Amino acid sequence: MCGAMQAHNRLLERYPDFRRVLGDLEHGTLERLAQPSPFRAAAIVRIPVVVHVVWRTAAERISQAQVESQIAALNRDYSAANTDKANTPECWAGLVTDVSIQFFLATQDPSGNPAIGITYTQTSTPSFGTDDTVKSQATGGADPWPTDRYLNLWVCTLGGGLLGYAQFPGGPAETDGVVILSSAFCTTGTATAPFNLGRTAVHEVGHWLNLHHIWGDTADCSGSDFVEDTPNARHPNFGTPTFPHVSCSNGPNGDMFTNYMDYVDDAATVMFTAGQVVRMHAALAGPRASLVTAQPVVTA
Amino acid sequence: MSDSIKASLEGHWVHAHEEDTPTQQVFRPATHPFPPSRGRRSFELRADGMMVDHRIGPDDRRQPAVGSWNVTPEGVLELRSAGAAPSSMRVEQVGPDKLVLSK
Repeated sequence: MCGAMQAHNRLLERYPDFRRVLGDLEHGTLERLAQPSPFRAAAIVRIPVVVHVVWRTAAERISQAQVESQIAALNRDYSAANTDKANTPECWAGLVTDVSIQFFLATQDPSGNPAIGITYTQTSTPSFGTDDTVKSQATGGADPWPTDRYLNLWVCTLGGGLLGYAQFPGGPAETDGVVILSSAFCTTGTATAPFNLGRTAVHEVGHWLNLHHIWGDTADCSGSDFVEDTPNARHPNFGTPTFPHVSCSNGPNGDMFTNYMDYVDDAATVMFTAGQVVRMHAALAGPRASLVTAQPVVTA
Repeated sequence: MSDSIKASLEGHWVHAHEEDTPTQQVFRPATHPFPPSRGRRSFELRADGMMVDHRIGPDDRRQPAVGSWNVTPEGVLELRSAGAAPSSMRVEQVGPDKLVLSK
C-alpha cells in the first residue's frame, strides 16, 4: 500500500466513523453496480451550495456574478453539457456520462432566512494552508453552514500554488466541503488561465462525492481509483498532454487524461465516466443523502 | 559521488512538472515561486539520511511519509519510504536552484 494511502488511512484511524462510512459506501457502490442498469441515473439530483468567500484584498472579494459562473460551470460539466467533450479521444467517447447532478446557490440560510448562498468574510491571513484553517472563523476563515444540508465551498488564497483540496464523504463534519484558490474559481473575473473554466471545483467536488484520482494515488501502478472504466495510470498528467500517454501497460489508448479526476489544465479535462457516476450516486444515496433536495426530476 | 554533491542534494525539493522532459524530472527548492497546480510531490532530503516524502494525497493535500535517502557513487539517488516501492533515479544536474533526475 502506498504512503499516500497510508496517510489517508491514518486520517481514517483518527476518525473511526470516517472509516466506517467509507467502508459502507464501497459496499453500497458494489450493490449499485450489481443492479440491472447501474450506469443510468434515475433522477437529477439538486444540491444546495454555499460559497464562503474569504478575502483580504479587493481582488479576492469576488463578485456574486463570478460565483454564479462557477455554479454554471459545475452544472455544465455535471450534466455533460460541455461542448468540449467533443475533444474526448474516440476510444473513450462512449464513456462520457451525464452525472445528473445540478448545483444551486442556497436560497435560505441555516435559520431559514432568505439568502444568496454566498458569505463574505474579511481576513488578515494572506494565504491559507491545507490545514482547514479557512474553514473556521476562529482561525481567520469562515465557519461552515451545516455540512449535512449544504455543500460548503470555500474560496481563498492558498499557499504553495495549490489549486484546491477536498474532503471525502464521512469525514469530520466541521471541515466537510472543498476549498478552491480564488484565481481558479469560476470562469470570469479573477479566474486565470489555464485554470479558468471552473474545473478545479469540478475536480474537488468529485472527491467530495467519493471519486479518487485516476492514477490511484500511487507512483508504481499498484493503486486504484476503484472504477473499472478508467485505465490505471502511473502518475498524474499535467498541462495539455498529447494522446496517447501510455503508462502501467495501459496501451494503446493509455491514461485517460481527459478525465476530470486527472491533473491536467482546465481545457484538457472534459469527462466523467459511467463507473465514476455510479460511485457518485452511491455517495448521494449514502453519506450525502441528507443534501439531496427538492423533488427529483426523471430524466428522459 | 562526492560528499559535496551529497550535501548539495540536501533540502526540500518540489516537483516543477512544467519543466519536465520526456526523460527527465525537474525539481526546485520549496522557496521557488511555483505557478498554480492541482498538486505537486515534494521530498525533503536531510543531512542525516532521513527523507520525508510529501506525496499527493487522495484529497489533493500533500501527505508525508518518512523514509531514507542515499546517493550512490555512480550518482543514483535512492529513495525509500514506508509503504512505497523504492525508487532510483540518476542525478543529471544539481545546484542551489534546480535538481534534475532521470525518469
